[in-house]
Amino acid sequence: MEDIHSVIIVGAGQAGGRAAKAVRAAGYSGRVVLIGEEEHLPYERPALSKAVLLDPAAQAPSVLTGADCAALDLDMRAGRAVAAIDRAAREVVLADGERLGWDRLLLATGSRVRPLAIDGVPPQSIMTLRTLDDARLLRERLAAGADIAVVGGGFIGLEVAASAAKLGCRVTVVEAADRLLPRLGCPEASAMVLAHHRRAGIDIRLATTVKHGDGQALELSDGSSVPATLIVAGIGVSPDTALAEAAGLECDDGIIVDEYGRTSDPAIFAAGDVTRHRHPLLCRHIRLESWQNANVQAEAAGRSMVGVPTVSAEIPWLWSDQGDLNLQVAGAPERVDAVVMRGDPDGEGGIALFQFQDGQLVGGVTVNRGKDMPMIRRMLALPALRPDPQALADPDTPLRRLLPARETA
Amino acid sequence: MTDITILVATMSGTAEMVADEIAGRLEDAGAQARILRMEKADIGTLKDAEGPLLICSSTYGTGDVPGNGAALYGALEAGKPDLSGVRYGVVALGDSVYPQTFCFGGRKFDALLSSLGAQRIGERFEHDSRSGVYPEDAAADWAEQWFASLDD
Repeated sequence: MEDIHSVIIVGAGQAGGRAAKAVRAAGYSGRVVLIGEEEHLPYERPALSKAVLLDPAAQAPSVLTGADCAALDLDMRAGRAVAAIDRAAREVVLADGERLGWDRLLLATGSRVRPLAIDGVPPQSIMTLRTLDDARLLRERLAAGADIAVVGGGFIGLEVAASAAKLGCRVTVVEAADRLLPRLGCPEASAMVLAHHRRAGIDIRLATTVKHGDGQALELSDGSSVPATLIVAGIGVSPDTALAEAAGLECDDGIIVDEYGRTSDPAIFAAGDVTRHRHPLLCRHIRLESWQNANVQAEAAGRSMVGVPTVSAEIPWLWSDQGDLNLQVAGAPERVDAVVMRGDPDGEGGIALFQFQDGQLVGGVTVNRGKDMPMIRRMLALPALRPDPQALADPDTPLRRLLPARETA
Repeated sequence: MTDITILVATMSGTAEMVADEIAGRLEDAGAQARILRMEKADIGTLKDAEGPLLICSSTYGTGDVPGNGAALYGALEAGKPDLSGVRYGVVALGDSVYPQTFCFGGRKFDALLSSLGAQRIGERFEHDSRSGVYPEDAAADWAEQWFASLDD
């Protein structure tokens, strides 16, 4: 194998930061440059829609501190944009023209929020939430009594809505689907989430879209009007593949990488939200926008990049905290043809959902019942296990009993 | 019969699952175990507990106690009740992906209770989610020993 003396990581979010750590943990001692557009050192994003909005003193958990960068001898370039990748010269070209050479390159450029355009509303009046700076700006505008409209009732939209309601804002959520979180595949769960948010005073409009606005109110597709001096768009993100595509790397809704994080160019790797990676347990390519993926897939890519081949093979898992509601989702079902529910949607203990495809357990969801999630994740990691649906539905049967005894992690 | 109150502070639910498992094992060992999520506990819960307390806490990434334990932690910190006479054990769950704040949830409760005069029984149990060992197995094994040592 050729000698590797210089590693460049483009993107200093959670995946970029974790990959930098992994490169060092794998024993590589050459040069590491980490380049990020934000002025901040790598941090975790999940807190942005919750703690950081609610509490001016709250910090987002850091991935790399200044002390870490010094101890790991990382050349951290914060606030710098990369303009291009020159594959022939093995260089990245920064926006200011500086060129940096690499033997191995890792792209961790993450995703960008999908922009929302509303007739009659200036684009700068529509806020989105992706970065720490976005969150701080949004927090300043979430004054008690403000009229907020959140467009999009997905995880981020509902998290922001719940935080805004806690801060005393009047909140309306406008969602195009006829129920919340339809992909859970369970009307009872959707109804539970809806009831939770309505109890918190949030006005949720389903099967509704925005027609136009005037800075004070939004007119909706059903002819009604809602007050909105602040609009927050939560209509999803797209993988930021611009650099990779311009460099001719294979992309298809994400940079295509194998289970080691390697792109169509064997000297270039990619990690995190921006990738569509080969998942060895699911036996297909998958794009994941999650804290877990930004950790484990970035760690695998970082190690593999410096000559320690490592696969990323955890069952996909993510969570969403919406006020006092905790949702967790495991697995990545392509199709769900049966759902088994455990627990009472009207009771205190929350519910767990088990999603089946052709008799095989392919996904699990908990709504305020996180205690079942560790066992669900273990079940999903054993594809040959075909847990009995009746036992799953019975809260008096411990889930643990449906797993092989004392198998090791 | 010894009454044990297991106080749970949890982020994702793992600590609650671990508490369930510990409770089962303690009952098998002859104890009476009660699980209480911390948002349902107050200073009185600690002072008036019949038997020893078992803190079972995970850790938030920044090193804070989990959200559902924050109010109790804050009340203890502000109210500074005299907890002499209270005996407790600690099960702390952590993730070594956060080396600087590993197991801080459990460690913080330990330090606070001890500063208020409560007496810790045994060593604190700490678990790393990256260890490859299931937390409920290791914690229940530990709790069985901990329970046996209460009479010493």
